Amino acid sequence: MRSSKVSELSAVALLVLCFGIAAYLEVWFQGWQGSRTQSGDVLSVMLGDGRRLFANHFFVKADAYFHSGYYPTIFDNREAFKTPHMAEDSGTVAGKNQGDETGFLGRPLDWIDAFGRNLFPATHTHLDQGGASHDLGDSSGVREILPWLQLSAELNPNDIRTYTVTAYWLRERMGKPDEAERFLRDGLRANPGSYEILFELGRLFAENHHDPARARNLWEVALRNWQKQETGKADPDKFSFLQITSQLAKLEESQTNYARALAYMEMWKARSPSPDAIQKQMEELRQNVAADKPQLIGSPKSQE
Amino acid sequence: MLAVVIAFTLLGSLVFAAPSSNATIGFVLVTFILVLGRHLNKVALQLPEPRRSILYTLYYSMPHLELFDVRDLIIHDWPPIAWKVCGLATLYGLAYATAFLIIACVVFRRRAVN
Repeated sequence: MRSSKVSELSAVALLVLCFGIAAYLEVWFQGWQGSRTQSGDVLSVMLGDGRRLFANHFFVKADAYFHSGYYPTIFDNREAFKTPHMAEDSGTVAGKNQGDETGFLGRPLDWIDAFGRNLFPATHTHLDQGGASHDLGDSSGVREILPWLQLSAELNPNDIRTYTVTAYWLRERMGKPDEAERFLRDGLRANPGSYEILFELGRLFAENHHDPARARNLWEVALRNWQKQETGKADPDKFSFLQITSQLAKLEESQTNYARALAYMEMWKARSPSPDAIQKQMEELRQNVAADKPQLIGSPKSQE
Repeated sequence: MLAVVIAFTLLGSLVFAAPSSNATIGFVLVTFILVLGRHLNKVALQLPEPRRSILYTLYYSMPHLELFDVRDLIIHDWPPIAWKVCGLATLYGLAYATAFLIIACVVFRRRAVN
C-alpha cells in the first residue's frame, strides 16, 4: 500500500518535472537561431541540412531522365558518366568523362542479358536529340529534367552547377530566357559573388538579350570574383577562367575594342592548354587590324 | 510475373511452416530478384572460382522477374515492346510458374493428410 503511494507520487513528480522543463525549453526554443520552424520550406523543416545529401541524387536523376532511363548503375562501367551529360553539354562545367558513353553495357554476357535488353532502356539517347522516340524535330522533352533540377536547387541552394545547368537548358533549348534569368538571380542571392553564375548571366545577356554592355559588366565582375576567390589556390578553377576570358576577348573583338580583346586573349593564353592556337588568333587579329585601323591597337597589358 | 510469384507462394505454403515465414521469405526473394537479378552475372564475373560458378548457377536457375519490370520503358516513352519479345517473356514466365506448380503438386501429394 505504502509502495504504491510512493510510485504514484513519483509519477506525479516526474510529470511536474517534465512540464517544467518543457515550459522552460519552449521559451528558449522560440528564441533559438537554429530553429527550422520559422522556415516556410517543408523540406527544410523536415530534413534540415541533411537535405543537401539528397540534392546530388536528384541532379543525377535529372541526367537519367535526360538519357530516357539509359543510365549506368553501380554495377556498370561509369567512366563515361563521371560528369552528367546534361551538364557537360551545357558547357557550364568541365567534363571528366572518358570511354564509350554509348556502350557502358558492353556486349551481352549471356542470353538472359541479351533478351533483357529488349525490356529496359538499352540505347544511348539524349532528350534534346529526340530522346527515346528518336524524333529529331522534337526536343521539347528536355523539360522533363527541369523538376529534378528545381528540386535539387531547393535541397541544396549552394550547389552552383544546378543553377548554371538549369539556366542553360531554360534559355537555350526551351526559349525561356526570362525564367533562366530569374533562376540565376535566385542562385546569385543564395551564392553571392559566384563567378560561375555571373558568367552564365553574362551569357544570357550576350546571347539572348543581345546586350553586350551588360554582358561585359557581368563578365568583368565574374573575372574579378574569380581572381579574388581562386588566385592562390593550389588547384584553381581553370575551366571557368578560360570561359570568362575567352568570352570577354570575343566580345571586345566584336565591339572593335581590339586592345582590350588582345589583353583578354593574353590572359586566356596564359592558362590555356593550347596557347599556340590562341597566339595564332592574336596574330591574325593584329594583322587584320593593322591593315585596316592600326591606331586601334594599343599595347596589350594583362589585367590578371 | 504475378503467375510466377503466386506459384512460388503456393509452393512456399507447403514447404514453410507458417504463413508468416512464407510471406517474409517470398517478399525477400522477390525484392532480391527485382533489385539484383539483372546484375548477378556481372557480380559473378568479378568473383574467383568456385563462387563464380555458384553465383552463375543461381543466376541461370532463378526466375528473372525483373524482365517483367518495364516501368522505365513506359515512363520514358520508349517505343512499344515487340510482340515477339512479349511472347517469349510470357513463355519464360509460364515455364517457371508451371515448374513451381508441378513441384507444389508433388510436395502436396507426398504430404500426409490428417
